[in-house]
Amino acid sequence: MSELVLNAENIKKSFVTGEVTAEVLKGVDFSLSEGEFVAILGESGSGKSTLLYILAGIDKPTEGSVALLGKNLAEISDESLAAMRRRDFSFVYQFDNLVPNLTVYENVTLPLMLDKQKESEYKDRAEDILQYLGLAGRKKNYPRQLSGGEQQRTAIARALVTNPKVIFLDEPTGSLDKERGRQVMELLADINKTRKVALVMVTHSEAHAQYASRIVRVSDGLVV
Amino acid sequence: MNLFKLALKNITSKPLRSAVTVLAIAVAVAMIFAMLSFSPAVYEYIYSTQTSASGRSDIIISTNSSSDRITSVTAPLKNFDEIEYICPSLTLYALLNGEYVQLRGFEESQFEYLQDIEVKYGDKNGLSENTDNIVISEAAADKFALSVGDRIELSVGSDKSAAFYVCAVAEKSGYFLNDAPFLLLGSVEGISRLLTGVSMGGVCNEIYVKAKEGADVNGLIKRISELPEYSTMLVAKTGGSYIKEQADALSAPVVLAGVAVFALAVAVIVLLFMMSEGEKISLISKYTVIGATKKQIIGIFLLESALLAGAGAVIGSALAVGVFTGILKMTLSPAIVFSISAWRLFVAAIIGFISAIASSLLPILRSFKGTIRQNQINAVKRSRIAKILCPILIALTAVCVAVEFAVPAATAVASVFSLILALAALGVCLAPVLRISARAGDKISNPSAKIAGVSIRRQGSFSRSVVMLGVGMTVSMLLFMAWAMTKSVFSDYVADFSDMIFVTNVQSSVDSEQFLQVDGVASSNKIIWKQGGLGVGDGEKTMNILGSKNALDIIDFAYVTPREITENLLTSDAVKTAADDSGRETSYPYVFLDKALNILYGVQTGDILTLTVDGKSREVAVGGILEHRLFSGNYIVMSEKLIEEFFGVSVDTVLIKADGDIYNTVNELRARFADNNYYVVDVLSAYRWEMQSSDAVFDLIGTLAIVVALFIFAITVFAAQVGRGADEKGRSALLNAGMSKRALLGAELAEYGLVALVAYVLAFAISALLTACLIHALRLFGLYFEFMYEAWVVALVGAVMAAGYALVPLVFNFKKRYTVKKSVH
Repeated sequence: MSELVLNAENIKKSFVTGEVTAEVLKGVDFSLSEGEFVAILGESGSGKSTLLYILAGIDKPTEGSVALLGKNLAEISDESLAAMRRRDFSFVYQFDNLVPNLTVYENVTLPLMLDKQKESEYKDRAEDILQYLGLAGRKKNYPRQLSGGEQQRTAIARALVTNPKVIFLDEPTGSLDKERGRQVMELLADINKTRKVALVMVTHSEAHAQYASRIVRVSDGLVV
Repeated sequence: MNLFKLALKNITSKPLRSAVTVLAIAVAVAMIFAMLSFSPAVYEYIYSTQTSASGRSDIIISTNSSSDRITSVTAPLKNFDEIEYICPSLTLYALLNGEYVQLRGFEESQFEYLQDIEVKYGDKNGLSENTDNIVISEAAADKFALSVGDRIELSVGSDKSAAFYVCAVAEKSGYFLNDAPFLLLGSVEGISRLLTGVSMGGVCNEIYVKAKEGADVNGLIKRISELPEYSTMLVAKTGGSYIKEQADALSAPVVLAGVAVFALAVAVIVLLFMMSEGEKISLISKYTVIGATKKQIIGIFLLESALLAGAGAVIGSALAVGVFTGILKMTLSPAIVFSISAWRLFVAAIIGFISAIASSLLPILRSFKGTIRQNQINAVKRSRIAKILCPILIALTAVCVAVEFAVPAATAVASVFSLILALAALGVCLAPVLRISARAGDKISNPSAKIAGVSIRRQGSFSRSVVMLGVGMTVSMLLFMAWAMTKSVFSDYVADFSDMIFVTNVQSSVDSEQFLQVDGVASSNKIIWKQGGLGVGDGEKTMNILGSKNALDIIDFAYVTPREITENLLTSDAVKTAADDSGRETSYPYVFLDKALNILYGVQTGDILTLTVDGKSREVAVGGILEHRLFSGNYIVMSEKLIEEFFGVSVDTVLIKADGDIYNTVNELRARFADNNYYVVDVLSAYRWEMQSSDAVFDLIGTLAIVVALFIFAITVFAAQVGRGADEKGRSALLNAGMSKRALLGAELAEYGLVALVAYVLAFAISALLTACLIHALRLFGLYFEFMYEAWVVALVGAVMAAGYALVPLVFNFKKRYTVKKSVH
């Protein structure tokens, strides 16, 4: 049996607005094995994105614990978590992932630069990934010069360039048309298959969820 | 790529914003430098012009009304080892085309001992070549239509005249800085013809002494005074403390306003960096999600702000040197070389630099409080500190103001705290008041008003705009009011003295009644008009002494001590008789002082004070307290007879009040007494230099007011534009939801209008209190003024700034740029 890379237990999350408290997650358990592709499926407002953010350490749970790659995110230092982001896992948003004043190449290699790696060590790898994602001819372009699909593929390239063990994706096809959405999903499936990267993807599309090896359905703050 | 390149990319990706930020820091640095340098610059200006006659000398020995008018005795001075050189000068007044001019003669080869002569036209060597040659000022050349080579006829009295030739026209520098009356520079031999009819050297009425480096000037003065040859003459230090007091008095209001401008400059830098806070926090979330550490994030933004701040500080330093010196030369004097203090420049640059760096950390620190998700959607909870601080600061201000008004001994110090607290309270309370006001939009059915109300409550950029505009408006109001008030007091002064004429160079035995026979003379009074030092507080304050028993008829005083009592003591030459410290019966002449001394130093009627006139110190008794708006605190009234008796100073001036055309009366007097070598001049002309210099300093205040107001306005508008840029998606969404462009423009007009209105109302409301605090704080500089407040100036300045801000959406034609964005990216 594959090793668990992610294990979350009894995750609860509430938001307080004025005197109103909204309980978005009501005690969710979640696990992810090495190389697994899990789709978290749910309607809008079901709490699926909030769950993803908590799993990736982007948001904090009100209750419960998350162990990512064997480390409890509540106990880990900011420095260690930053190092894990640069080396062990990545996150792709639905849109607005990229730093607007950096080129495609600079955006993709940014985590490596922040990890103080030498460009000579990662340049070929980065260009291979850009080639793999069909962005070789766009590497000197800025995000504003790219289509939505190209921007999303650039974000995926950046997520891949660090050779992570896990990639979290929040509705990666949400802002794309049907055809481009399908292309991205095939790409993700290929990444999962060929590179053995575990993927956790939030989607509200049944069709896209079918690309995953396991589907977790979330409804009204609970896994159903 | 490295962190430096990332920082550089952040800067270059927004070139306009970066350029304006650099410019704003630069202007703020220049403003800080201007405020640090204002007082020394005014001092330099006043010192340079006041000492234009004495130049490099340390001591002046001059004849006076109780000594011979002319002397030739310089030999005893040659025995002093401490003297580097002596420079005798013959100065007299002569008529040129019916106008008084001042003739100043030096021995050959000594023309530039005291000052350099900068020639605009002609050749100054002509002075040595021919004793009839003279150098005139450019203003005199314009006034009398003279040029190099022209012959002029000068006369003293009805029987002495001589011809001179203009060999050069000088720049307004050196001797010619103080050119009232117009100065003509020549040789003693040439000028002496107007006194004796023949040319003679070695005569003078002023001897300037330059002491050697390190010599004890005060000791030297004492020893010279003790020489019998100079015992009846005035031996004094050139320059003197009065210049500093005058400079301090003129620059004090702006030094205080400078504190506010200083705080404003720093606040502008802080708020400017906070304007793009949301954008920065969003960028930080992007860096964090890909693994940037806190150190790296701080590094990127610190490098970015260091580059902007460094460029701003460097440009600001250059701006400070160029613009500030330019403004000084334009408003004060083009001839004076104002020194630029390197340390002040450094301090200004460092303050600007550090403020910018520190401000850039604020969004970073705020982002560290939230999760990546909160930063991404900019949902980090705003600090509630403003809501808590606002009532606390208001309460503290109220306490401080109560102390300021209720405890006279603490007024001056408390006023500074009140000033700072009131400004801080204004800064902190503006944003909450704006948000509360914006709630009114909820009750209005108009969609534009509703949208405006919601935007103002939810977007931090409006809070920062209202703070910047409100505080900037308040400081601008104060500066403009300081300008208007000083100008107004100055106009009153001109009106008060427009009918007065000085007749100086008179002997103490002169019969003042004789002047009444001249047409247009309403009254004539023998007076002594001198400066003296009065021991008050812990030091000596330089005062103008008006020695005349008719002083109360001459000047329009208000009376704290009833006029009858004051008049009775003054006109009867009364002295107070009391036992001194050793129990011996002693007479103390009565003096009458201004209310300012009562308020500032607690001087009371009956107090015994020490007064020093022409080096003689005597104890005097305070006979009464007077009040005068302009002279506040700087004058002593006493009987001329008592000054002569106790200080040995004789009458040398007759003050005449005219009841017709003053210039006709002056001409009549000059004609009637032409043989007496009197110097007859209307008071306003006699104080032309003081008027010009005061006017110049007031204009400097006005220039600063305009610069500050324009700067604040420009930065506030720019910062609001930056804040607005971040909400482009919001506007697109509103248009997409069916809002018309007209209604959207209406919403933006309402937003700008409400910001302007709140800033205006609060700034106006607090301006009277700040004015009172400012006037009270002037007491720290030894200045006392009654409360003055020009509401119309405050209202007008605020209204112009508020209207300008409110109309920005129309002026910048926001409507033209409204578009529905094609995508949400």
